[in-house]
Amino acid sequence: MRICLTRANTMNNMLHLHVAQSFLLCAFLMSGRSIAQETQAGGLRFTDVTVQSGITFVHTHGGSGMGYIVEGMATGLATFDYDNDGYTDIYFLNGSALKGTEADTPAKNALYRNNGDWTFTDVTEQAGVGDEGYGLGVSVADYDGDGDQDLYINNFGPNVLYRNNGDRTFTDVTQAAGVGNGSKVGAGVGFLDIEGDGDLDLYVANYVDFTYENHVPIVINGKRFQAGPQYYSAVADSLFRNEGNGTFTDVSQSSGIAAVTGPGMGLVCADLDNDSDCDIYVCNDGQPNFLFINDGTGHFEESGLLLGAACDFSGKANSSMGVDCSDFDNDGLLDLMVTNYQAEMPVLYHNLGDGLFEDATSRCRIPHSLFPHVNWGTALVDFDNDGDQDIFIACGHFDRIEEIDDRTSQKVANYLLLNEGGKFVDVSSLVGEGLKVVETSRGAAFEDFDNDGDIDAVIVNSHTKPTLLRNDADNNNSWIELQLQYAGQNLDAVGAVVLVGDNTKPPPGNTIPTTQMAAVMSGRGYQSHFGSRQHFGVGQAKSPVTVRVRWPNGQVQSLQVPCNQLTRIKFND
Amino acid sequence: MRECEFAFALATQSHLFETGIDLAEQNSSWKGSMSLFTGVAALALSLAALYRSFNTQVDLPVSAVQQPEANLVQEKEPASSALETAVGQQIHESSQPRAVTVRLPVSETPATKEELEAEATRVAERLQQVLPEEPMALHVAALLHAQLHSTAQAEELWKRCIQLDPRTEPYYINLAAIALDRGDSQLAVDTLHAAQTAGIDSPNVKHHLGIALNGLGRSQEAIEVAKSALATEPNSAAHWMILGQAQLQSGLNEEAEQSLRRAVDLGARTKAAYFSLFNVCMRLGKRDEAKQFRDIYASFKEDGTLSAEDRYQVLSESEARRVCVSVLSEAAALYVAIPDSQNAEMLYLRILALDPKNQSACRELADIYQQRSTPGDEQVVRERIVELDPLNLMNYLELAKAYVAGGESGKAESAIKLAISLSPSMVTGYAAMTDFLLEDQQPAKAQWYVERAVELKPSSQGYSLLARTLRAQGLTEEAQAADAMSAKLKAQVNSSAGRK
Repeated sequence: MRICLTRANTMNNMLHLHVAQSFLLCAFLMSGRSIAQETQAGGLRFTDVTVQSGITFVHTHGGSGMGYIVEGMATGLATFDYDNDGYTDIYFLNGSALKGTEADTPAKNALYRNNGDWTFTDVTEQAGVGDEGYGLGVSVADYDGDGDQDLYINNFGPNVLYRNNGDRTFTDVTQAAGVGNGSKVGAGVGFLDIEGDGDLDLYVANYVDFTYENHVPIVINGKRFQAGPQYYSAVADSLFRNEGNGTFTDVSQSSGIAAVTGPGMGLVCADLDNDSDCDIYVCNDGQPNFLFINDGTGHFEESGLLLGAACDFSGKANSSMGVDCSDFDNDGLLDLMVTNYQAEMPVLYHNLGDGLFEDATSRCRIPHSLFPHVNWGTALVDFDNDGDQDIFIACGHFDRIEEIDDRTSQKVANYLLLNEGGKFVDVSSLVGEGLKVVETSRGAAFEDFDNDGDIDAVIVNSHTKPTLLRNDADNNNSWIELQLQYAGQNLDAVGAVVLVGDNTKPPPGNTIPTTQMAAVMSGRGYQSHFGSRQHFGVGQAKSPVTVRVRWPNGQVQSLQVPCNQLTRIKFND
Repeated sequence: MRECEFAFALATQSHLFETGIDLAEQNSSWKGSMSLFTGVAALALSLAALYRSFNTQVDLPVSAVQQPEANLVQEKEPASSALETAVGQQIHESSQPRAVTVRLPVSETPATKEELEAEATRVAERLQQVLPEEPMALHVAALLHAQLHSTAQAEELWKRCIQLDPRTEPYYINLAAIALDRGDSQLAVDTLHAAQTAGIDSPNVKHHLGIALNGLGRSQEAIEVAKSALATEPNSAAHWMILGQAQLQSGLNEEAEQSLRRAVDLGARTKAAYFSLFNVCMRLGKRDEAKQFRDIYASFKEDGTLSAEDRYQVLSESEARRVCVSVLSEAAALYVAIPDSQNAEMLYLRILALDPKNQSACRELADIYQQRSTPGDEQVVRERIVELDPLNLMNYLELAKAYVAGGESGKAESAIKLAISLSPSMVTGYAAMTDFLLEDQQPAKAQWYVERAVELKPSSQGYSLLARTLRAQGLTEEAQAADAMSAKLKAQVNSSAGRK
């Protein structure tokens, strides 16, 4: 775009002199820009390794051309080490045949075991996690404290809780646990400890009251499009309290969560107001986003608008899709990156302290080229290990939008933005063919799949195969990876905060000096889960770095962690 | 040089960096958001202004492009035309029978969205073919493409407009707006800088440049631009709003609060303004005030109930109709300017088929018939105008002129009487009747009306007309006295003007 402008302007200025000269000048400017940007790409290179990985999963949205609202939403995914072998595995959600669709074989979710050599094996049947429901959201946590990670799947229809048996198999314990959540249109999921009792409760986002009977057909220029959530009633989200005995109790009403309704989508659970309890941020599609502030007892008050995290800079309630949470500017406060719909900018909410947020999107130079596209999966992750978090944004429309709008299309390449001192630079076109894949992406997850110290990616693409990207970064930056183990039933340490570095001056709102910060979360991005293992780039550091862990009970543990290896940290070890 | 006198509303998307303020309308009505459609409305207005200038250049009658303001006449005395209506000037000049060749539709012609879009496209393309190097023709096509989200074509057309006519502000602003819509804020900024380089450095350009810079995160530059605009227009709420938002982005919270409060005081009572004030008060720890602003913000009607059209940013049928009418209007105005009255007539008639209550089209059509000296057709149209806008005195006087032109003096008199009855305290009707009666050789009857006129508003022109009336009756002394009074009042006015 800029090049076009430069050319146009140059032509405007020089038209009467010599048109050809202006093109030469344009070419010069183009090459100059590319070189400048290449130097900013952090030596990153992403390689599409999907084909050779052995992943044969193909997502289906289950539609037959009717344009049911759930088709466009599908879907998220989860990455976790289901068999505790040290390699992160991938769990793909799938759609299923919607009304009017005939399928010979029912579509089902798929679990791929990571063999550690960039090949994966489909272990769905052996593991018993091939749910055939219409998968929309998923999260992972060791809810029963038995040392392995369990799966919760939020469907269009009844949900599923798979308890990990610890022997590479799972058991569907939905009914016994009492977390079926009726038969709603699901969205994001997160485990969190709402009242600090040591076990993990379950937040389940719900979308709208869509059924086949109340489907709203939309026809534009003779073509069928999907109706938006405004045609349906929003459904309040659900909160289930873990009773510590394998069962849950629905506390949506008593906790204050059901006091408001919105078409929920992605969510994160973290201590966003820095008061040592876990809050909940929920994206809403076309309504102000929710920020449920925890009073420490498991009672929540929706405060998104008051705290500046519900709308964008102008007060517009966007159609928000996904969200991630981390500290992009290393000021010791957790920020939020929220993706939005077409003709809306994604919004980077900067945490100002005291739970107050500001829309820092423009200030941080999130590129305006994202504006025309629908944005879904996202992550604040340090891809180039330079010590700050970069941003990934998955893009793509759910309709053939290009037939009515030339600004975007159903299939769009995804975006990678590098953090350059708190301002973001679009390096998508400079990091190899991996970011040139053009699909209509949804959920995305980010892990170090090969344990080589840099973050790779797996992206769900609607109604087709996923994309697996290997990070082939060519830089000498160091890194640390941390596997936290807490106590009691929350062995995953969900809710803990990790601080890396040893600055002497504490940032505003924090008593602990820090340079980097991340929260251990269950549920991130677009209705997905990733990042159970904490990853930090530490730039040119070679000697051990200071790590502080603020455990869920508030206790702080400090230790020196060697670079370029995975370190397991146990509570009070 | 064609200069646009209109402040032009930015047709930018509202989601990027919304001020909620339309510079063009800041002194009339405040809007909650800026959308492409509001931009279109403003675009049409700006085009009208362009045509006015254009038409003046080609010596077409000003009346051919006048855009009377509906329902304002009873509140505001028309300018000196009040005593120069010359309703009766043609009374004996035409005795043509009322030949009528036109009928006007009374109900909207059914048309689908697709048909309307296709029709507008056809008209715009034809206009481009007829006038391939006429920037306004390209402008109309660009406008349509922008509406139909063929934004790449719109962008190229506006670039071409600038090449052909680098002195016209709306082309730059529209190119900037469409660039923003396409996600290219750098192009928007560069375009507005190019406007400044071309010598178009109006507050309007600065306003939009401030928005674009804020969208790019270049808030320090936006602050400078907004301050520069405020140096010219210190009481512009829109400029204060841009300044406040830029200061808010820069973390200059105290300054932002002052600027935003100033914007609101000056009339920027928009959702965005109150939201920004709420935010800045929260940051300054003024929680009580913040909550007050939050409540005001929340009280705005929530615009989140998107229609499918909003969600997909395509036109609804009613919007397509409006856009089609807009494109046809602009095309017709261009045909008037060429001049090609036959094409213009057909387009205005088509507009009335799509929108039978479109007063602008009626007026333009009536003016075409007036130019053609087809009073029968003109009367039909002006009668419709009176039906549509029955409280506007000027409509009756224009109708009376048409009756006179058609030799129907009785109808003309009755129309003027009706006009007077509608606005008995205004001079215009009495003056028009006087003029008419004098031309109709009824000076005694005319004297009564002109005396009422000077009673209401003693003026040089009024006494001059009275003198004419008296002289027509042979009352020379009385006429001389009236002339003297006229001269005295004129001298007073001149003296007063000189002192000022």
